[in-house]
Amino acid sequence: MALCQNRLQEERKQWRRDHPFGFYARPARTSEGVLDLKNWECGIPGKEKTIWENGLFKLNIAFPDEYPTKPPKCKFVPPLFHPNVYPSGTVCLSILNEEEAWKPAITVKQILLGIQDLLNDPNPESPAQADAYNLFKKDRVEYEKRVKRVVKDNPAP
Amino acid sequence: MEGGHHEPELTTEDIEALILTLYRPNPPDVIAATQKKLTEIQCSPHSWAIARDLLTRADEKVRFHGALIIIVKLNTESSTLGDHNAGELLTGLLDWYMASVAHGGSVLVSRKLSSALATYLIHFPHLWRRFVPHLVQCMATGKLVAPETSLARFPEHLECLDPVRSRAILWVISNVVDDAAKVDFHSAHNSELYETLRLNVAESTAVIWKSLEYVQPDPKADEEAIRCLQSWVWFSQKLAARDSLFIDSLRPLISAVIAGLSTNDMFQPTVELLTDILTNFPSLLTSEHYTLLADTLEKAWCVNYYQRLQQGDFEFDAVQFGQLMLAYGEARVEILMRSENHQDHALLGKLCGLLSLNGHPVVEDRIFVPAVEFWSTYVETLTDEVFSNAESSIPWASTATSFVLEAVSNSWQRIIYPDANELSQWDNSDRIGFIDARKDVADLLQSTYALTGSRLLVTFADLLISAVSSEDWARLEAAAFCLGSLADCAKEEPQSDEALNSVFSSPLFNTLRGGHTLLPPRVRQTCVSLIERYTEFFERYTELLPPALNLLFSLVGDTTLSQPISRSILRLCSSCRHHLHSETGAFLDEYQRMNATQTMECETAEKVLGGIASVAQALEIESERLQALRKIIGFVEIDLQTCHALIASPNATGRPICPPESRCLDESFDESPALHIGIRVLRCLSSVAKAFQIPAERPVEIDGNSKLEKEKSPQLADLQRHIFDIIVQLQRAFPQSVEIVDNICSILRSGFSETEHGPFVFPPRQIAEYLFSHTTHSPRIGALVKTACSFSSSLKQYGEGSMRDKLLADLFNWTIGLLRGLSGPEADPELSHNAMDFITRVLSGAPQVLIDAHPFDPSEFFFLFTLQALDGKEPLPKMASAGFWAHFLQLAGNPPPVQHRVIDLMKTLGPLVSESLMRNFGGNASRSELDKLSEPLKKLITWYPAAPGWLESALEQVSFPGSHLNPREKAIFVKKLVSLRGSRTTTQVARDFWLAARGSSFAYAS
Repeated sequence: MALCQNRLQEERKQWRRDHPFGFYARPARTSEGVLDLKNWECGIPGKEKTIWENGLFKLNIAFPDEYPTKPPKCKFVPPLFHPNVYPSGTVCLSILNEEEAWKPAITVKQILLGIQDLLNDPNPESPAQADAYNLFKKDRVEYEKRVKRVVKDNPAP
Repeated sequence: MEGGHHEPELTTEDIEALILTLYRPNPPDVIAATQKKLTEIQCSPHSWAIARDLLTRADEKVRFHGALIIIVKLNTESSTLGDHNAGELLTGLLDWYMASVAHGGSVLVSRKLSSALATYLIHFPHLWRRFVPHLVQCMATGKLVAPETSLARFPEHLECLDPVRSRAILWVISNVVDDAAKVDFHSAHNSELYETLRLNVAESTAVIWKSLEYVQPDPKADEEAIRCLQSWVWFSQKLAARDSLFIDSLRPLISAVIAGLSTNDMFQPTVELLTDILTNFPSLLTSEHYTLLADTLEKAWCVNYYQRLQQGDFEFDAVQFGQLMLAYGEARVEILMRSENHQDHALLGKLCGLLSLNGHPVVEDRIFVPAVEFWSTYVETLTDEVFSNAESSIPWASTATSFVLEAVSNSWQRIIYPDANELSQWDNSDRIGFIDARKDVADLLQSTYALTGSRLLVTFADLLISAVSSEDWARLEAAAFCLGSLADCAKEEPQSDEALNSVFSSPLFNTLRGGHTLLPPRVRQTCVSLIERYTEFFERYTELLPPALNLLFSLVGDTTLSQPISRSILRLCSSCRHHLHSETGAFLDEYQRMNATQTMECETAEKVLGGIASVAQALEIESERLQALRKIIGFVEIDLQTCHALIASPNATGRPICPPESRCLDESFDESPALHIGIRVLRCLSSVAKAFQIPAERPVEIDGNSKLEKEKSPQLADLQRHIFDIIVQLQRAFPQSVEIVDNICSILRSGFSETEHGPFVFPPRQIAEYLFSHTTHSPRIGALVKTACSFSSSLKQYGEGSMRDKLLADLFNWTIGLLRGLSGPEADPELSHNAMDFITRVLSGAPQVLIDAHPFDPSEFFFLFTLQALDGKEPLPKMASAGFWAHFLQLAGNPPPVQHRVIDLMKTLGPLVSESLMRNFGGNASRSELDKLSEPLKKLITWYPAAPGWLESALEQVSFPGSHLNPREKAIFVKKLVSLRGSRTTTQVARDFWLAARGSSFAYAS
């Protein structure tokens, strides 16, 4: 538990000192207004020169007590139209899977950059929602149209 | 070292020529070939001798290359070099190094040689244990002595060193320590190196001292001394938990570093090192150091730096000074916060002052953002302290809080936008940087709210009202931004509500509505967004809703605002429908006026109509409700007529479909105007249909009879027919449009969850007929089957009976018909998986539809289809099939006759599904599919006594992929499965089996 808190304090410090352009990430607040280090609210901008450009997508990161031994859970709020995002909004990505590529050294910054990469480069091997996955595989024009609508509904400021 | 035989065809001159070629402009292929040749030479057995020869040449590039070869050789072949040869190598390296330094020649070569010496030490620490005093003696005396010579005269030799030689020694030490920082000292293999470093730390610090204390200061030696210290600092931090010797040896030097700040030449390196230590390793500093730093920050030269910042001088050194102050503040935040002493208060005052420098944040002022971050840390630390001492009052809290309020007061004024003229000169990154800085301030305000509560909100409410009355628009925008940022944390408190009440009852709405044509769009935008952000306040203070909605309706035509405004209208109308239903007529009139005078964007029309429909839905009397809806549908039909007109004559220029700058147009460049407006009609209907869903907060009536079985009123039936007719018209007009199908499905679905009659709860047979009109050639047939899936579940609202069973059977046959049109499950994965999901759902309520179908061949076809999907490569159909089988297999637990029928069917199907599952667990499945696939496996074991036999024989099939598994492993697997009796651990056992079957070819990415 102490390890988790210390690491998260450090992550926060590192993020403040250096974070990628257009992203944000900060611990949420409890109902009393106190910071809750184990739940972060983040924003991931769509990459330039992709169909996701000009969008800013909100994501919550929930860190378990066992963090960083176990990976955090990343969830788009509201759920995002994307082949590798579950209908609940949870992101399906190897670096976030304890049994796959998660390593305790992976930072919040790397996670968010990894998810930003995933936006325009979905992994067709592990579909997490049928709608986006089917359109991505079958009807790319319609898929891109839907993504553009998602971008319009989530504009970057 | 080995003898001097190198390749006869390449003399030292040849190699020298090759090296020089590398530095001359040449075509890429020549460079590549040269590089390749030189790499070969580096790796050749004669390269030690070649390096030695190269190091004697005149050209620095050639000598540099000689040193490079030695580094490469040390890193690759040091294990084959015996102690004797290694000793000779050290002598040679030192000889060249001393000569290079003494001749005052190329720094390039000297630095490379210092690097080679460091590499040497990393590999042969036992041959050069006292490397620092040894280097000092050699350099001081100019004579090469053996490393094991007595080094007792170290202080004397150190005294004789000139700055040039000191610097050369520091180079070697820095390189050694930097390289050592990458070494794993947990390994016993590196213990000699570790001991060597311990042995030399004291003499290293002595050399650093010496370099910092020359009577005639030498900037280069000073700089190198600080750099060397920096290397030691990071090394000592890495080992801090294990060994304090390094830290203890370095600490005395810190005072000299702090003193160095005041020297012109030393400022740059020392300020960097100290900021770095304060930020990353504050525990290195003792309280004496902190006191010394605090005193230093009060010195005249520091005051001078601070004043430069205040005057807007953001030269590099001034910014560095600001960062030093902030790093000090951050490292001492807990002390400063609690302090009651004048010096600390003065420093906090200055740190507040860093928030009010001249120049726009980010664009000019590079200190603002880090200063806001410091204050955020301060507030959070203070809040934690206050909350953890909730029981007792903290004497210093009020002073500590007063600094926070000063910081807030300074920072909010800095996020005021400049005038349009100045703003137009900013580039894109300036704008984004400024917006980010505003977010940081919003973050600070939210943290502060946790500490101070509603008084912060009251302050910004007052600031906003005063800006309205003084017509200071830029200030109004910033105050509204700050007030808006508190919306997420503001609680329902009398004081906050009162403040918000005064804001929204002030002349603000009048100001925004019009009259002030000079009001910049951004000001209007930020202020209007307050309504959305404080929606919950309006839900409590419903008397303020009419003026707020009037304002929103009056501004919704402004395309720059229409998106947030239409969103606000929808949200407020939907959540406050019970307070607003009496306004339905007024809203309808307002919409009619808007629709007559202007064209609205699709999204605006959709949301505003949805909002009005929500309000209409709350009307108690059915006839009034339906009358209002008729009017709404009437608005939609105006667009429908335009659509028909455009179909009839595509080039007709009549009413424009959307304003020219609409956002909806850019995404639909490939649509015809007729289709565009057709989609708009359906999206509006969908939004209205959602609004007409009965709100969830209504109490659920638990009386047995479904309200849907009652008769509906003729007016309702008539309106339903009317709406359905619109849907059918558009489907016919655009039979190939994916979006038309998607939107129709969305309208249909909104009626599925309803438990009583409503305008969008269409008769089930009508919905079914609509679905049956589609074939595999229809666009998004998979999405239609998905709709059928939800539809089948909704039928339970009508109670069990022949109508439902007949519909389900018809839907089943329709679905099978669609699947028969495919060459296999992978021909249309979307259709396949939705069809399997649909039939799985049918199973839970009406299993007879599948298991007792007459004739039975559609069911037979379906079983084989699911097995094909289970064996296929497409993940979604495979998962749907696994889901189907898990459900189907469980039917054996149902009462007869279902149970008997299923057991009977399984005599044929059991071996087949077992084979398919075993092929998956034998390696064909991907890792992410294993959990879902183990579900049918569990059910198979739980319910079917014949399952072990089926599984055993499945593992022996030729098609079983895990060919290297022996019979024993297979038998154990089945045995384990049987003993687990379908419990949760089955998944793990199956996973292990899959891993074993995949063997070494397993990859995570699979």
